[in-house]
Amino acid sequence: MAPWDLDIELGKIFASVVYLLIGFAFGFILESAGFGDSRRLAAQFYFRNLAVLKVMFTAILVAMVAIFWASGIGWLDYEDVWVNPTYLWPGILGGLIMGVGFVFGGFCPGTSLVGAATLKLDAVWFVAGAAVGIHGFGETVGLFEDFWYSGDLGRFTLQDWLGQPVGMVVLGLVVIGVIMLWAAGLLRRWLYGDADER
Amino acid sequence: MSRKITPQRYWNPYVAGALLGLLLFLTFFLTGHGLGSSGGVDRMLVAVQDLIVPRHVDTTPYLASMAGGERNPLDHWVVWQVVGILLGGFVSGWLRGRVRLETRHGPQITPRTRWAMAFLGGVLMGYGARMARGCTSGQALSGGAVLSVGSWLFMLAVFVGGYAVAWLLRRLWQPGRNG
Amino acid sequence: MVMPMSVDLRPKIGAAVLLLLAAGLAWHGQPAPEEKWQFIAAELEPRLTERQVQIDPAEMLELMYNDYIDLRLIDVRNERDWNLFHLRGAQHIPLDGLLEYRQRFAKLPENGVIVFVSNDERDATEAWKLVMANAQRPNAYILAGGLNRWLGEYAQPRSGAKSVEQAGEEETLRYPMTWALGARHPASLPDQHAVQTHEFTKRVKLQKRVVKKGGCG
Repeated sequence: MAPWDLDIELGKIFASVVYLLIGFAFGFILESAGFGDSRRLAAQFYFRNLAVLKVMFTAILVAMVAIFWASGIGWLDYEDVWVNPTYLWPGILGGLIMGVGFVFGGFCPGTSLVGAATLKLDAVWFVAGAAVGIHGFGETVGLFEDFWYSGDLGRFTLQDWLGQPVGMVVLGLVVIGVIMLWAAGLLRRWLYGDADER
Repeated sequence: MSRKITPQRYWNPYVAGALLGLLLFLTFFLTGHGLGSSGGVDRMLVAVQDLIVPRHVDTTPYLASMAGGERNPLDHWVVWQVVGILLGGFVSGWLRGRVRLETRHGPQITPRTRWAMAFLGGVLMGYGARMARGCTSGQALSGGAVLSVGSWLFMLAVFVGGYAVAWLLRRLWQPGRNG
Repeated sequence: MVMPMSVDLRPKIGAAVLLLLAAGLAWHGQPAPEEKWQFIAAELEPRLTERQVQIDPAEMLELMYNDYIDLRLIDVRNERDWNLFHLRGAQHIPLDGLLEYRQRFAKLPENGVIVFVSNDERDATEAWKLVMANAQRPNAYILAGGLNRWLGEYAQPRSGAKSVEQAGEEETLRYPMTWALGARHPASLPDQHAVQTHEFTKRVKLQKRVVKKGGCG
């Protein structure tokens, strides 16, 4: 039953190749969607171009449905899947900071790599900044270590929190996602008329 | 110098999203975890630091967990993934003629300003990504798909933070009153 | 750019498909932990039938004295039998309470070894199946012959009486116990040098365990 431990199953070298290929596909898809272009990315925050919302949510929802279907028919063991542990306060604060950074920088770390790969100079500056930011974090985290570990709820899933079976949670999210994307489209039309998404 | 924007043949975002979703599923299926990117950049940086100031790396707990003593910070899947992302992004751009030395920026500002803003944004992003223990690929996409509460809250916070300051920073991206 | 009708319809069709799949998922549900075994039975059943995971009492005795192995003896019998006799250092987890421990077992260190113990082998085998129905499988074994055989061999250290190789299926403690000695019975931890040893095939192998690293790194 999946998932497997690739390092053990395939050995270090082949496992690294697999990760490389996964990254390759990731970068390829991102660039094909135009996410190497900071203007296109930032336009999300003005509702000019909803590609970010569409790609992100479609990806999450499709992956989610696939994962839980695989789990439902016994192909994948959800108990064994890495669920990001929830650290409530640093997660929220980090998210807010990243949101602000997104509008300033016009990228997120993954897309900045794609931008840099296609020689967008602003992406290169962004990556440089990210390196500084990451370094700065490493140097200063000692000052607020308690905060960084606060709100530790561990492996805390939506179905745990809401007390609902997984299938209902997934269905609910898909419904909400579809409605949200539709509403965002309406909002865009209201703000900008029927102009092209740029 | 800003270029005239030529219509690009980008993929339909829903198609791209669906493909990305399938890739994400495949990744979880094969490896038991999701995607990542900021961690890879982080580790590459730490690897360089380890060459220059190894003692400092050994004595700072956050850095030591990755590269302290004999540990090799590059011995982690996310590093390979980052290399892959760079390659994949490049090949995709190259095939479509989008590999071009240029600066994308809003019409009201100069490329120079854009560079400064990109750098500042990068600093914030880098700091925030480590604070949140992930970025949009690691936390939002991957954590979101497996229903982690922290990841969904993170995603919410990113959008709240972004939309909150977007209006204030509109000069960076929006066309001015006259165009 | 005017978009043709068919292109505009795609996202709507996609959304409808996704909604249907999600609704189907909600209806289908997820497998119960007990059901998980059926998904891997084909792969793991041979290990049971070929007796690759049932360990000889002599090997068990060795393990109990081995300082390098983190041995977890899990006794899955009922309380009455536990009080009558159990192995020293064993942990009492009745079969119906075992499910909660599954995650914990999967996280043992590299030198961690689990041995399930019951009166015969039936319940210990059930426990083994339950715990192995997990993608992260712990290093688990079953005491061959159960405690009935153990007591037959070690409760009379000098008699050298051999007990039957095949275990019974009734899961009753067949060895007569006058008092409920629990782990104070001498056979709870027999003296290695006082018992007669015999040839056996070693079954326990330490597995290499890699801690799964997820997240962004």
